[in-house]
Amino acid sequence: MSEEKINLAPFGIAGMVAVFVFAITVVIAICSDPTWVFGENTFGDIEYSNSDSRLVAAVGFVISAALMLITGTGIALKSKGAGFWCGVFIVLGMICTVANVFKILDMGSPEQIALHIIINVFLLAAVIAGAVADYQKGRTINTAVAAFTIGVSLILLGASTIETADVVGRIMFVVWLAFECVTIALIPEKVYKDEAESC
Amino acid sequence: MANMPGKMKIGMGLGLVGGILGIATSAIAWESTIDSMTAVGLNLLVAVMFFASAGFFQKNAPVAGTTGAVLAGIATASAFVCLVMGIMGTGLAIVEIIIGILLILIAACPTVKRYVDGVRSVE
Repeated sequence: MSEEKINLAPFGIAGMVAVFVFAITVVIAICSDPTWVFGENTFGDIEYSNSDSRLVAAVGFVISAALMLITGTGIALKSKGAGFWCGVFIVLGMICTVANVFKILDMGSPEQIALHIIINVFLLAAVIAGAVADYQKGRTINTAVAAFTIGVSLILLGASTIETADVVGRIMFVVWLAFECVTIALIPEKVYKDEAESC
Repeated sequence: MANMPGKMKIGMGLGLVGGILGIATSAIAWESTIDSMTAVGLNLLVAVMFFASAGFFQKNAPVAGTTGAVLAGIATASAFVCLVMGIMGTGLAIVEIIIGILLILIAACPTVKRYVDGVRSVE
């Protein structure tokens, strides 16, 4: 048996930059749009408002989604099993996010709830797959953070409005992704290979 | 068999305190109306999850080490939802969240995981 280390650090760093861009975008866009109210509006509402925040939100969300797409692709290509599916669902979620931004910019239509639900389902699936992968690898803190994220999203979906669940669920996904990216950037994953298999 | 780590006793105590606080807040949330059932139910969920986390820290641990952290994570999540929805008082919700984070850290502690997995392999 030989030990091989998988280096996911560049993808982890891309993910951390994405989280930073996302956080800055959300703060700037919400602060510059006084009509946006927590609990009554979704993230998509920032993008089709008529204020200055519209362009900031569109550019920021596209940049952060592109960086998260890179992270998801890296995780999918270098992992197996649940880790692979985690990366695939991140990629699908981010493709839908970018599509959503361009659709809103192009059409200016507020009727985007179906695409929002699809995005949130993909992101939730990514967190669930990530939780399974972390559980199998014995990463206890990461598994607990994933359980926290899934718990908050599902309980809010049942007990609150879809707007609150959308906003809080999206922020929870970003918090989970930040934890994952810090872990994969700092701790290289070890894979044990059979000598015969490697030959 | 190895002695039970002292951290597990602290974890059990914190879990019980979290559960008792959850029961108390669910009693406070009851306003003799059907509308108050959401608040009562969510507070009961907090209590149940904290009691489940306390149960993980008993001498013959019923679940694997990582599962204990998952239980504590869901307990923290339910307390966080109560904070976001304004169901629980802000101060109490923050205390519950801090207890939940401490439970996650205790469950993730290597000595606790080693003890729990050791006990389960003996059984």
